[in-house]
Amino acid sequence: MNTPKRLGRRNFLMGASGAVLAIPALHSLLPSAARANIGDGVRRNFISWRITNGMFGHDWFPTDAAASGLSVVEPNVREMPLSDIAGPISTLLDTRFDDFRDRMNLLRHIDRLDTADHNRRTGLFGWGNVDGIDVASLPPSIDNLIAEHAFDIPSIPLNLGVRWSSTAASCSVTTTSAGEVVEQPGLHPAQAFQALFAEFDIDDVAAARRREQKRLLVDRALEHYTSVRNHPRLSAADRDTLDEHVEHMYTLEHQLSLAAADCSPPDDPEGIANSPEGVDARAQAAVDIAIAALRCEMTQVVNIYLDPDVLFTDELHGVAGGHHGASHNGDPASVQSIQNAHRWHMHYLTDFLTKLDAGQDIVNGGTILDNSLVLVNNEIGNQNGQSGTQPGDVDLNHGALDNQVLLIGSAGGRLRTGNYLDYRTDFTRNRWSQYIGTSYNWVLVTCMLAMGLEPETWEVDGEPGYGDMRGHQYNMTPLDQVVVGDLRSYLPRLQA
Amino acid sequence: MARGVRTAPWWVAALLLPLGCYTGAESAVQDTDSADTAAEAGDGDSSGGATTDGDGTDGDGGVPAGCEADDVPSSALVRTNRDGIVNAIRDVFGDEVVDDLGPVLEAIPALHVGEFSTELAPPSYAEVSAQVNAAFTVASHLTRNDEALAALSQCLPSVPAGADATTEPCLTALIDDYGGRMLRRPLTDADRSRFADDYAIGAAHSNAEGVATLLTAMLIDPDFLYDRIVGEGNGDIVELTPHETAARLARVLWNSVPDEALVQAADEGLDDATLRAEAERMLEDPRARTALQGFFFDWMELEAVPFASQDAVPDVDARDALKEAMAASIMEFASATVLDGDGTYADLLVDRTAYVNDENLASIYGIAPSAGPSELPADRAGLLTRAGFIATQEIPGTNAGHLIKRGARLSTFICRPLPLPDADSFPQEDPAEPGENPTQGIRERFAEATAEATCAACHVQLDGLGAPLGHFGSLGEWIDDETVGAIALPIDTASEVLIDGQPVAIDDAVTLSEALAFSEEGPRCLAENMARNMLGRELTDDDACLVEEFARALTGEDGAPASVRDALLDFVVSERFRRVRTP
Repeated sequence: MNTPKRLGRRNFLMGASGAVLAIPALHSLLPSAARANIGDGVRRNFISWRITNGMFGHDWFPTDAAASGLSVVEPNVREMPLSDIAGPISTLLDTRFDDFRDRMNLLRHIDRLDTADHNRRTGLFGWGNVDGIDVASLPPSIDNLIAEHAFDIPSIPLNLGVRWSSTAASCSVTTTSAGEVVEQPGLHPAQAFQALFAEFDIDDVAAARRREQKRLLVDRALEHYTSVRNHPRLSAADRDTLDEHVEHMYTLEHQLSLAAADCSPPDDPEGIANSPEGVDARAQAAVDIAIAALRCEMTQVVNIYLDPDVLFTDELHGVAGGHHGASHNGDPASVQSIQNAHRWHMHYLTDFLTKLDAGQDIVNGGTILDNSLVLVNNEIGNQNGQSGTQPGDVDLNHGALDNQVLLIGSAGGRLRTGNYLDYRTDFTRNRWSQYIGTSYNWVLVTCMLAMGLEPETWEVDGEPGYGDMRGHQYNMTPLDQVVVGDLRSYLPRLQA
Repeated sequence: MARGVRTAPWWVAALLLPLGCYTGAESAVQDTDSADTAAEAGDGDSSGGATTDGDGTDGDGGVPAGCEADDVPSSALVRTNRDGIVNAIRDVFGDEVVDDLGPVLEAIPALHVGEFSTELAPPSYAEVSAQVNAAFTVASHLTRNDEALAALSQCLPSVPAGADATTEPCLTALIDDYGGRMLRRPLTDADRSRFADDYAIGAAHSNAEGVATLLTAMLIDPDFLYDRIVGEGNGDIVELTPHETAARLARVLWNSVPDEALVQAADEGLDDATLRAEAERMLEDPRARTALQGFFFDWMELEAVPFASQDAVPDVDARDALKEAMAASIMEFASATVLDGDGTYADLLVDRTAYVNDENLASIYGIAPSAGPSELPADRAGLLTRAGFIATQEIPGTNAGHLIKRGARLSTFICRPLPLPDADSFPQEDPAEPGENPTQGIRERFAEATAEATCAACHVQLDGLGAPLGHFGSLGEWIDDETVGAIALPIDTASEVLIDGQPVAIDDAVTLSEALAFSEEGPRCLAENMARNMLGRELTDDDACLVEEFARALTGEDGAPASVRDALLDFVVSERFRRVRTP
């Protein structure tokens, strides 16, 4: 069978000048035996949505009062349904998230074990500060592993960002067999549009063609069922049964014809300025391109790392001194700036989720969102102190404790959803008396498992583990004070 | 365990039956007039609507009394259930595609409306869309590259794009071979023409996609998704064609489509001797074992096997394994008894052979785990004393199993299900739980709580059937005493049970099993359930003679019961199996 037409790898790698930016290793030499998702008819997507520069827990998590329903469900796990939180979940997870409450999980007290600070790859655990590590033996970031191993036909991650420059804005990393760290380039919207949709022909998109084939087959089967239904040797009850079958096939045929129309190109973002004035239009374009690429089945892995940073301005966005600059200051104006920067991200995140959730995924059931897994992450943790919910308790250590982790979608039914899950232990050991949490490594392993990967796909020499587990360079929690997890199974309470 | 989802527990099914409690045998055949009459009279007539004389026949060539040769079931469509779809795909296209596409095939809903996974309601939208999706995915997988195409047919990779499937030899052979297997009959010219057009849909892009659309069309064809009888001849009663007989045989014995040997036999006419030989061959095949185990899974309500409590089995994986082992052990015993041991209905109820390789289950039985057969202790008998059948949820404050739930399961097992009482009739406190009363066992508590006549009418049967199992704790383990808190109470397992309409004194679980094993109503109930499973629907008056013939085959001649396997063979080669009444 001809391989369905997909975007060529080179398309993703071509910069505006047409030069190849980098050639990532495809890991085609990695063991392929672990493609557990192959053959699973549900089309799953993995999306990472990365926010930068840390966050304040009092904005992100429910207040202690709102979270009073948390109860210990097993060791080191507290849980409550998100639906039990009256009013908005939190300042940032406001009413726009209400439609997704039952399909997402908000995780609390997730701690990183990697080298912290602004290791821009850590959202997906590519390799950044790699001193002392034999890089050649390390697996790539999880988006690449998922893209290569989770699907019938390996996918290619689409990396989208707003602030694009010669320094790639991407958290997607792979390593060559020679041990070279290769950072997958991020594309700004105009580049991505050129790569994906410049020569877009809806009739030649494999997904649209397959749907149309399906629709035609159903249409023809309808004719045949009707003929069988009228056979004189059928009873009235049998005819009723076939009538129901026919009625559902009519519905399916109609839905398939609608589904084909769901694949359409986004607006061409060419000409949007790479400036503070253009940042909103660029972000919107990135969202719309991601949605179109997923709906048109051009990719199953998307990394969105908008990262406006210095494109944020006080006048336009209420963020003074750029996002990163504000994150190093604890004055009220800077704290407010951080909140505004996050509000900006949440606006586009909810727009993305809403669009991903629009319409039924007729082929797979549910919506595309239901069949996807969206990982919202941040390379820096909660900048609050102990409880993470007290606005006045600000600690600007750029640390890696109590991270921003939101999982949306069930990965096609593999994840249990709808809960606020607090993975803290009952000990208070670190020097800020913060609760000891559970490793972010385990979150990433959970994402890979939910996408259908087997541990052998990411493990090195058969040893359990994924990612940098050396602990933190920055005065962070020693390894033995974090629940590392078995790193071969789902985080507790997340497997459906 | 990948079995169909039961849509209604026993008590819902019971509610659908005519309300009231019967003290005599009631047939599952929906001849409510005769069943009610027989039951109310308590006269012991358990003939299921067909009357018999002394020897159970009318002396006319072995035809059951009251039955004519033309008393055959109607020719209702039988939907192919999910297992049937999967089995057919496996049998026609090989294991690999099913193994690779397990999740997409499991996405086809497996809801059923009756006791058996073969009893399906008209399809829902979810089912139809999932079937189409699965068909398309399977077909795409089977055509994913040249190697896969060659596995379907060596010549396929060389078929040029845009070929005409009405004339291209490789494609016409493909259509005949796979179309005939999936539709369970030789194709007509109209079929061939239709499938050639289906090929053309995908062939507009490539030969491989053409084959994919062709196979998809076969997999969503009504003659694949439904077992449909057209028959030969005119009039109300028609004979099944040889291919229809083969299709029915494959569905009943394998829950699949005929294999090549059976197709060939059907091509050659499938005479009586060949039909019997084919049926015997098919019963030797592992597919027959799987299908038979599926029947016992449904009949014994093994999906309802409870999980052990965390106190009893702390490890969650071990709890899962125990639940699976309880069901698997029963299915293995039943299929081995029927297919390997040539066992009778009585053997199913009294044989103590067991297949127990799970450590916790072995511990419940007080034996060592073993990869092969073991023998259960003498205080147990056949199916009715297996942990998977008698385990109930743990009752707080006591080690006893649930008397009434066991009585209810046994009632269903012998085709005498009882309705639930009105909710208003329930006592304030559940008699199953000892609460603050340490002086009574569960049997006494229920006796006291249900003494009133409206309750007692049903509880006579429920308590009578449940009490002999009193020495088995909630997980089915042997208990010497019934503990209520710190108090140990003696267990009284003696009871009186109506069997074949007569009161029979029962001492314990073993004597209960023996009494039912050698009864008339026991094998009759098995016959009814097997017939219901085969027909994929509740029984009606039209089925009475078919059931009767099968029951007679199980009961055997001269009081010597026949093996279930032989009865099944006699049944599937009988005229009544091969004829239907048309609308």
